[in-house]
Amino acid sequence: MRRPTLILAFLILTAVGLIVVRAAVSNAISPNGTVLAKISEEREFYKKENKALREDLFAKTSLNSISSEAARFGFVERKNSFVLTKPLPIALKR
Amino acid sequence: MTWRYKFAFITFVLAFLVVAFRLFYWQVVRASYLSEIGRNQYGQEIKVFPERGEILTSDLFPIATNKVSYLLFANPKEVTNKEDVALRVAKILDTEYASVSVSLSLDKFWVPIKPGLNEEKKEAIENLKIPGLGFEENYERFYPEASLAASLLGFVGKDDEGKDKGYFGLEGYYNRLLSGKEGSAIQIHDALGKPVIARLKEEGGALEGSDLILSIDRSIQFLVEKKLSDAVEKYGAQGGMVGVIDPKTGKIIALSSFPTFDPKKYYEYSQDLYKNAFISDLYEPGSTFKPLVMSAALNERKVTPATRCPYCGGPISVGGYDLHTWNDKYYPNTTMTEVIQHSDNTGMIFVAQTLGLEKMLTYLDRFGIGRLTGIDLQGEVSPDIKPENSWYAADLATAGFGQGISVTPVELLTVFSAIANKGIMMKPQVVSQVRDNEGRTVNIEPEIMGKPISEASAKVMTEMLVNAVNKGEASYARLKDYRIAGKTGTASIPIQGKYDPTKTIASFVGFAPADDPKFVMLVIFNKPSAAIYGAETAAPVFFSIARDILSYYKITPTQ
Repeated sequence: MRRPTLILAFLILTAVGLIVVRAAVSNAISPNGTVLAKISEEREFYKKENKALREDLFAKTSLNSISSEAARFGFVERKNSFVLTKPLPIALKR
Repeated sequence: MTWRYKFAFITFVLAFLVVAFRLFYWQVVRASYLSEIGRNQYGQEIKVFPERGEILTSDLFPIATNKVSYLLFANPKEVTNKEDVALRVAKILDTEYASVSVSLSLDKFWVPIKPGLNEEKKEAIENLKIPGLGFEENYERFYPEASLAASLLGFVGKDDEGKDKGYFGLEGYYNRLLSGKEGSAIQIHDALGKPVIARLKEEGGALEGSDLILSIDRSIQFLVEKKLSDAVEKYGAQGGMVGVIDPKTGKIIALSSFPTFDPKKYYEYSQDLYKNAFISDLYEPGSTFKPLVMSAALNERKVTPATRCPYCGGPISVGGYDLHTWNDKYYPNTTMTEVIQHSDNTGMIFVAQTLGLEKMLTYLDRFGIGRLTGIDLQGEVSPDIKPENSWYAADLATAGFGQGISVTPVELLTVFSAIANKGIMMKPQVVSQVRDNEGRTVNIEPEIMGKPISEASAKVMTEMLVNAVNKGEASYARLKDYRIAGKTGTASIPIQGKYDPTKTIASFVGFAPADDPKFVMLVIFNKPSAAIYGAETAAPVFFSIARDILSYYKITPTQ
């Protein structure tokens, strides 16, 4: 008479315990998803912003861009060049 | 009473066993089936598209990279007031109202409206808050240097499945490396659509494309392209090409052909422009071929620089044909050095006949004529060399001065780089390193193709070419403070079995400094109209570019 009662009580307590644990775990992880999603969104935002800035940087440092800017600043194409083949002193000790 | 307890107990035990059995069945035996259903209900499979690898010049500047763009799509079944929506969207997109309207009137759940939108346009459309419109994010190719090295790069189009695929040039040749591998991931949402965790797992994870680091020097490529396009216009040529190679490693420093195309809008250009003429066009090289034949004869000790031609006092009759010099000037008893200096066709007939057909074919093979160089670009062709029993006496004679035989520009450049590099011929290559998505690099090592001539023969040939530059018909344009080896070429073009005297391929090939060459360069103009000779068109451009390259490399004058 005692043993079946004990077994029954054990089964009921196990079932109740599992229900409580499940509820507790679900409750614990549910807000993490929102936080993680927010972090993920921020990460994607900065990734995109980095890409856009990188694109801008490459466009501005391209030789095509530098060449046209140089012309605007008055740089001209070299027509002649000369080379100093003999070393000339810059400063002499007297 | 006992039997009631027993009965109840047995009933509970049986019920428990049934539940346990069913639990085992659904959670172990049918586990994967349940997971699938769960995933379909709460999970969403996301395709992870890899970013295509970049193509960078030797200074690690990307000439082909990626930028984020958006495809605007619509669910026509959710869009109300289609006319008004089409009007507002078309205005922002700066596109035809009719095309948007037609897309929205389709009886589908998903229709593309316009690809390639930037962040600004995306935000403008999002601010309209129109239900039924959405965006797909993807990458599109971006070229910071615009059409620089376009024929070298190729372009990125679509394959039959609508996926990105490279065509021509480097994008085509290295498509698999650049493409990377697609992956997928599962995202779990709760009943309100919020993610439970950010991403469950990546199944068969995506692999970003590898980057290519080229041997191309961006500054030299830029100046070569500028000078080439100016010269094509100045000389009224149909087109032009320049190739610059480091003879010691085979690395291509610059490669340009004109006319060219914009790889971003490749579809607006004729398909003829997609191929890289430097590796895909066959042409008769004319006098620029003479150093190959001469160095073969020198290597075989059939001639020396002082050998005299016994029958070069006038036109030579071979196989029923009278073969003349290019300017109908003849130098009786001319030496081999003078033959190169004067670009004397009759002298080269003597050299070819002295060399003999068998040796001529041997050296054509040794120099790689008739075989692919193996350069890492898509679209390379090579000419067919006739078998020995198909050659006539006239064929041997004309091959001596570069007519009646076809080469690609890259083949000729490789031949000259062998002469510049002590007789050692290096395989031309454009990519010097491959970098994977984790930053690890693999070097593409230089490869020796062969040693067609000895170092001594190469040295002798170099001196003959220096003499040709100093005293030949292009001497007026030479750089007086450097020792440069080179040869002009003016090849007639065969049209319907005859050579047109007014249409030529004008070229100049050379290397500098002659004693320790840093580069070999080939300049070609196709049918220049202002002047037809290589000495008047290609040679000045060669020396102009050479001066800039020598200055760029800080190579001081040698004389």
